[in-house]
Amino acid sequence: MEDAPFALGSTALSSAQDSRIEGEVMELFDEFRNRLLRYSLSLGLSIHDAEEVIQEVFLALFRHLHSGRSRQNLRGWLFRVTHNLALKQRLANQTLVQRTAGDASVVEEHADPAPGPEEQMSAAQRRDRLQAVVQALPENDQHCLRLRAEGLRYREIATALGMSLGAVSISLTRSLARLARADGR
Amino acid sequence: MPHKHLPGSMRHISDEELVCFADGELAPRRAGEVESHLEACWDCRARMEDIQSTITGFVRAHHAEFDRQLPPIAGPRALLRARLTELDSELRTEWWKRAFQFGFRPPRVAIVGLSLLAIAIGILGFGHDSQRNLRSTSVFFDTQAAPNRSLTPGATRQVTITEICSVPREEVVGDVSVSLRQRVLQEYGMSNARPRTTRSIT
Repeated sequence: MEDAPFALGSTALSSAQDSRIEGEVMELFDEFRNRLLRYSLSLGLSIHDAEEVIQEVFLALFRHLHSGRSRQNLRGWLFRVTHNLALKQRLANQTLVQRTAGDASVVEEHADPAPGPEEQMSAAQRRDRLQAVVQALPENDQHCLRLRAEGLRYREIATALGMSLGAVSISLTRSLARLARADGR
Repeated sequence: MPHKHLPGSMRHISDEELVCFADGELAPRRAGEVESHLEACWDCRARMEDIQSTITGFVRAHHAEFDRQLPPIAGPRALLRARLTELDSELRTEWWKRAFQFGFRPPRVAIVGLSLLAIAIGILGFGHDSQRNLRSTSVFFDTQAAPNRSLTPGATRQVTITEICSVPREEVVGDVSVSLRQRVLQEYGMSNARPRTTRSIT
């Protein structure tokens, strides 16, 4: 687990303080559970594993707050810990989804539609096409894109993924350009 | 269009800047410049709308890909609450156990400080005992080893055993009369003792 084990240096909190922290954790769970779960799924976890990872993340958050550590940017903290635990789980499961050349061929197949009134795509077709493009992106670009879609600022993405701010900006621009091309723009 | 020949406000905005602008990541001053440029430039505004449309499409695809897999929150929420209660109990037990079963782990500085304090106390205690022993020894010499002036008149000084043993026998043994030897022995409660007729140690 990314979080350090409970340290003796932490103080023994009163029941009232514990209840307050527990309430705080539950509020954050309500707010971020779906976003974190989506992000975990996007990393290739099964729904069962993703749910378990999210549980671990919020237990780690409880320990984090219980030991009196920093409360700054808890949203970034949640995504960072989720990212690390999800990758660890994926590695443990040996279910790393390799983005194969087949995906790329699917992308190419859909990526160059001849525009015309009769070829207006349904929303579902467009969605499938964009999904295929995203899956063909380098993994780090996917992470950036999906973290941004979940509402993280560039600085939070950079922290979560251990990248520079500029690298996040370039990655997002590159990914959006590829999506736009696949979308016929 | 060669951008470098255009005045600042007319230069086209790069894709990266447009994306940053759309995401609210530009510095306020630069964001104001980009906004002004977009008002004036159809080309950049069209690219901006493409970027926005791509973002919209991606977000919908992202949600559509995963949202249908998301189970209702109620079950996981209840499970988390139960686990938090359990964890809270464990943390409390762990704290007390560590504190009183295995003892605190004080900082290294504190350990060194306590060690030095213990050594200092030891040294002071030893010094105190040594002085007390020395005083006891002096008292012993004062009360028991002092010569009886009536028997051995003259100046006295303290000597060590080494000093005594290193003195040649001839210097400490002299002629002592039988009557004096007899008197000395009587003083030491040995009235029946017969003094040697030869030399004796005084």
